[in-house]
Amino acid sequence: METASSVKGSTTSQISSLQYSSDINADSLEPDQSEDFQTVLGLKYLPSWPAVNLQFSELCYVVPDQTNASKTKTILRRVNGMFHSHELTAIIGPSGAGKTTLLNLLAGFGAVCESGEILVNNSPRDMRVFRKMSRYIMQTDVLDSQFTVLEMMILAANLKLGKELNLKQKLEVIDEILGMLRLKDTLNTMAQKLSGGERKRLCIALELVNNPPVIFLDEPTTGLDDLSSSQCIALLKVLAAGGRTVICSIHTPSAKIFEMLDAVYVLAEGQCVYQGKGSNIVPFLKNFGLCCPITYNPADFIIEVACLEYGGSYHEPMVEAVGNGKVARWSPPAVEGETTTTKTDTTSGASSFYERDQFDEEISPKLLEAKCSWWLQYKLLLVRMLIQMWRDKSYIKLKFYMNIVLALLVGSLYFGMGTSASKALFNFGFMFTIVIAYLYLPMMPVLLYFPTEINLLKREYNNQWYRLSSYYAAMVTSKLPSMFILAVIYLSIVYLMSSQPLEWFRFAMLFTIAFVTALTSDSFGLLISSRLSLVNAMFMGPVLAVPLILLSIYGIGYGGGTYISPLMRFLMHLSYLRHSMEGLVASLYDYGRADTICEDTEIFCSFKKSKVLLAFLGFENMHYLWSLSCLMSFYLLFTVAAYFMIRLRLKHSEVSPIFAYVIQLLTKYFNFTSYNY
Amino acid sequence: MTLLPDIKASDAACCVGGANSDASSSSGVCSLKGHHGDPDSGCLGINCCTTAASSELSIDETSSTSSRGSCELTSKVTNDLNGFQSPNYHQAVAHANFDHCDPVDIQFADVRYTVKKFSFPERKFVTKEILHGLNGSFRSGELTAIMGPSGAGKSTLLNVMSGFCSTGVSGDIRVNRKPMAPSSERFRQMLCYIHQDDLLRPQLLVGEIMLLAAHLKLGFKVTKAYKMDLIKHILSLLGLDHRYNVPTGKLSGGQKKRLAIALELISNPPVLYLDEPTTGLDSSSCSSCVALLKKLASQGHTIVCTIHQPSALIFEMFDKLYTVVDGHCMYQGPVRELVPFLADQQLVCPSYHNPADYLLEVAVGEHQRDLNELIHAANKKYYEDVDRHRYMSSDDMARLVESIKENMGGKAVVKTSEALAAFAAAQFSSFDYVKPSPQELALEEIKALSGGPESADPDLLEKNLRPQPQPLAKAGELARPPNAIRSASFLMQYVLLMQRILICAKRNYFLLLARIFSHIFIGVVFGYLYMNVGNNAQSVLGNYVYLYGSTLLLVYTGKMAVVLTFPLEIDMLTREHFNRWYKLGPYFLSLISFEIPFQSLCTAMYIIISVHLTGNDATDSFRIYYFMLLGIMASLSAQAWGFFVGATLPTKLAVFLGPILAVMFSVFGFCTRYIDITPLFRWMWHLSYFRAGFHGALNAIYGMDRPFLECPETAMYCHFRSPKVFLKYMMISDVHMSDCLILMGIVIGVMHVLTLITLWHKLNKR
Repeated sequence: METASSVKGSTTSQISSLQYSSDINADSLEPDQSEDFQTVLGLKYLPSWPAVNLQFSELCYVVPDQTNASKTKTILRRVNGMFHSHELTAIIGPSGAGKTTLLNLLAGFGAVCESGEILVNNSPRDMRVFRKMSRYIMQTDVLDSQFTVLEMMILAANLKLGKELNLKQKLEVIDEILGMLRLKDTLNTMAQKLSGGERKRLCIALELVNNPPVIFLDEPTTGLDDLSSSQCIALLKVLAAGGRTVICSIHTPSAKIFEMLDAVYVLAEGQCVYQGKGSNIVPFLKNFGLCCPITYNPADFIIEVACLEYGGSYHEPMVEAVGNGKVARWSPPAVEGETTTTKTDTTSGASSFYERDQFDEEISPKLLEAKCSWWLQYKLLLVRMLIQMWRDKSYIKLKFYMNIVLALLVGSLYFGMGTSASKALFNFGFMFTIVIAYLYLPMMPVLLYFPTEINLLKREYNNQWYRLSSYYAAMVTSKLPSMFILAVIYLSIVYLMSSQPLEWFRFAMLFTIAFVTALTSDSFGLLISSRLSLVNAMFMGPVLAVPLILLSIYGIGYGGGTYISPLMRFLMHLSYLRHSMEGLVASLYDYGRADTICEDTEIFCSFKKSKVLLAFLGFENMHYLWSLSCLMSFYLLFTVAAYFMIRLRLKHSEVSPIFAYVIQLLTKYFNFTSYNY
Repeated sequence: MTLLPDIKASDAACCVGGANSDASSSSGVCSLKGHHGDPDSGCLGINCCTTAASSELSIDETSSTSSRGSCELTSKVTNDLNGFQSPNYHQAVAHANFDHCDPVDIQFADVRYTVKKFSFPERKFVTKEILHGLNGSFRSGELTAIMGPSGAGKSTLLNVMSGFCSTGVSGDIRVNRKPMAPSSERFRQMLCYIHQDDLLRPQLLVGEIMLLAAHLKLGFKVTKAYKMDLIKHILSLLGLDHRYNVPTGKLSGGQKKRLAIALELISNPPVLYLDEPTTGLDSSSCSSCVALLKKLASQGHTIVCTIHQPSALIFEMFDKLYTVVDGHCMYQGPVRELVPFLADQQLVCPSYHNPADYLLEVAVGEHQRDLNELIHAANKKYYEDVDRHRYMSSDDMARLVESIKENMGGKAVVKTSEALAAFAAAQFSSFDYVKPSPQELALEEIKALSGGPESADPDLLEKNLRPQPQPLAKAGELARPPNAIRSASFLMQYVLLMQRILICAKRNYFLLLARIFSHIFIGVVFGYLYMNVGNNAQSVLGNYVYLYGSTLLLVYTGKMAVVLTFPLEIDMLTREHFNRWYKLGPYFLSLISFEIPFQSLCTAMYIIISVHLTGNDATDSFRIYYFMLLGIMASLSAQAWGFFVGATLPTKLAVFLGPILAVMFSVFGFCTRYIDITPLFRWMWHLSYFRAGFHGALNAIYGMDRPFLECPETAMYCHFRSPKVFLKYMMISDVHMSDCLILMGIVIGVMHVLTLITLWHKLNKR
């Protein structure tokens, strides 16, 4: 094994020297590359996967047409191709050619192809195994803004490597990866302070923690400037030279970036028009009578040809020349003698190198085991969420001061009402404000922040960081401390200021009901925002809350003699705020409360006794434990439903035909317009 | 001398590969023909020479083929026009007015731009300079590209030159060698700014939005036939004539980009600024867009655009390149001189490299060169170009150029009487080179068309010419565009914008239907929940809750529907207002003229349904009218608050704070009495429009001497049988209806005025 590694290393170094000798800045770049090569091969402690060659044949992908329900639109038309290990391959083409679709199909990222097959090292792909081998890095960088680079790397290492390595070994691995990606200077920098290129490299570094052999990148240079783009592609080339299979889709590569690519796969109108080295594009197009001017970028030129800028008669011949991707590496005919001997030698050397590398090694079963137990994942994620909450200082202060201000305001409004018989009806209003407060205060932040948070969850979950259940359990648990503290502050202030009876068991009962109401509202907001976008969630949340508010205070003033129909009684039970109101009223007026004080200014106090008030408000049949049980049931119901909604969203399951048909009907007949901010 | 611009235009038209049936080219050829008298062989000779020149200059066969084909097509069009029987006067005038615009050259010297922002670590305002003394010129007839790496200041330079950013700008900016501030009204009349993202209302058709822009920009002193001809001409020029009846939401990216350009071409501005017109488009859309810009430049427009990573095919279409690096100019000059310029600095562009990409690589420091040397070389080249132009001018022009050069050297130029005399002499001498006015060109075109013996009646021609007298060209009016037409008046702007709102509402009726149905649905739900509580003495509290819930619903729906959609409108308003489509007053008036009646209609529908179901309509009918009026006023107060919140805050914060404020203010009046409120917060009681609406509704239902309520026989005693007892218990017996209505009216007026002030501040102070 050591001999093979050393032979591989030396060969790679020679190829690297040959490739970079043509660069203008070869002198300055070569020492860094040599050092990096030693680092790449020296990644100790990490699991070593076998090299992967990815081959696909006859891939086809169709989607329903947006305007016509009966027609379909073909995105990919029976394309073929092969992506080698040790190579950085770029999928390029004009807009709408199917680059991202092909990348998603190969990665298994939310798309299922209609026909065709994908081979991994000449064997049919096992999706479960492949998901553990490959990583998909999205176009948008989603990072936690409250953590430093080192902290994020440590968390990724803990989640992915588990207890196999101790902390010192993990730090060594992190140091090697960050050194490879030139991020050592940013160890203690917050993620929000990084530049665009650094954020992109950090996203790559987080996925390199367990050394995946296949890396997919969706347009890694979009949004970066020219220097960051060049650095990013150069680093991807280093990763590929280390034995990985790196596949990315690039929109418009510049000439400098184009020269760094090992292989190019050009798509146009869902078909492959070229596959091979980038330097062979110029002779390839010359075969069809298209001469690339010397001031043109060959990548731009072939994309413009694919866009039919030079006429529409070149598409079919190009597809036939490469067999729609069946020709894995197009090269000019040798008999013409147009290619230089240097290029021939380079090509031959690369081919022999790749041939030698295609060993069919068995994947060790240990690689497929989960490194981190459920409990360890839950603990790590819980700590991360608590730290994230603690570091958002401005948000903590905002919530803290808003709670105090609201408490003082409500307390001032209901000052001294608890002991006054003539104001018993308004004390009922005081309990109503508690219900309203603990409906809106927990729900609105969830509706506001969770649609943003789910992007981070989607990225980490799809790249096999953790299980969804451990994340969800940590998320639910991490909210309890702050909600508890804020509830203690708020309820203590309003309870004392409004002169409610100073009995500990009544305050404890009231606190329990209010706290469970807050938890239920939080899970209700989570359930709403798990399926809707930000603006739709912000609109639907308060709208759905209005019927709950109405049902919670239904029936007051009717008295005991009024008949309530069974249907209405059933609807009242559906509102968890109704149970909150009943619980609050029971905690303050039930269990033999003493008579309230009747001031001298009042001639007659009709609500001096608790029984009369309860009968008048229609709450005489309530029971505290029943209300608390119903609230707990609603909380569990919303929590479990939100979990399954999130799981359904992350699975990228196909939309059912009935739902798609309803959407098309709405679009066609009602001009359905959804706000997608 | 008159022949030169026409020949140049024809040559440029032939050089553009895609110009095969251009009316501009045909009119140019006709003018050429008119001047020569017997021009058939001469015209063809010129075209043949142009073809030969193109063949020599082109680097591959495709361009030659395109040039040859376009020349043949031009000849064909000319032959077709010879057989044209009756001249269309309006069409001719429209074409003439559009195809020629006055040349505008913009020179700028020592332009600097600084921004102030608060630095938290230092706790003070920090001034940062972004542009460092830029010099340059944008000439008419040229397509100029501003390039540079990210963060170099490209968009900043464009914003400064267009007046989109006016605070913090210093330097000398001249238009046709006369000083003019970019934020002045005369400067803004001659330019338009087309942004990177296209904000179009997806419900309007292409023809409708073009006609609306024509009405707004050209006013109603111009006939509709003229406008329709102008619109058809512009759309055919931009390749959108087959999209006349297509909604703008269905257009592709390239077509949307061209439509955004077409909308601004209606007023025929001499200067066009475009911010990254090719971003987000694919390769063929990029090519057609830049080719269109080149065609517009060949007609005399001054076009400046920032561009990011163009391909070589697109890069070659630009006439001039202006490169910005860290707020400095690194290169300024023709595109074809870029590679020799870099070669002079020992920077050789490799083979099969795009010069634009290579330039950016140099700019970001990838080739280890000192950028200051390039900046100095660029400045030196600029001064040499200025010196080169000096020899072509008269002595007076040379004196002016020397003054400009001294000004660039940092010296203050004292304007003496001699300088003023030089200015007057310059104006007088430049009078000889002013191109003929569009009316003269129209006259020449009509004469050429009617040269045959089968021409129309001379009396008819004279009759057509009489309403268009040619104005006298004065020296003082040289800077003003001769075809400046007064835009629409306040009332017409309001009517046009109102029509647009109604059309959009008719076609995108899902949101409106959702609002109507939600009111109906909740009205039915409320009515069923509180059925027949209106006249029952035992269910007074139930009716109390119903009135509270009604007010809460009306306040909420009035506010949230506006908070959601208004921030999106502000972006469209900002750029349409900057490009001088309309003023702020007509826009805001049309906006509230639609929202207020619609919200009132929804409120009325809700109240009619729920009042009937709850049995509150059993007594006098005037109580229902009072209730409806109060509900409408409360809803409109919340809507005015929603406008203000939407105009002030971003969407996320507005959507979050809207319901919080509504719920907070709704506590007053429902669960409290005035006497119980802490004196510290009693001012909230007086200012809460929710309380005013709610208490007014209670007074409408139970006040104003309502007789006793019915008490069921099963009840022994009804405490609130007399409405006075209930009102006294709630301490609202002293509520006056006029006070509630006045308070809500004040809230509506004040919030709308604050919204208007906020919008005005956003639009004019930037």
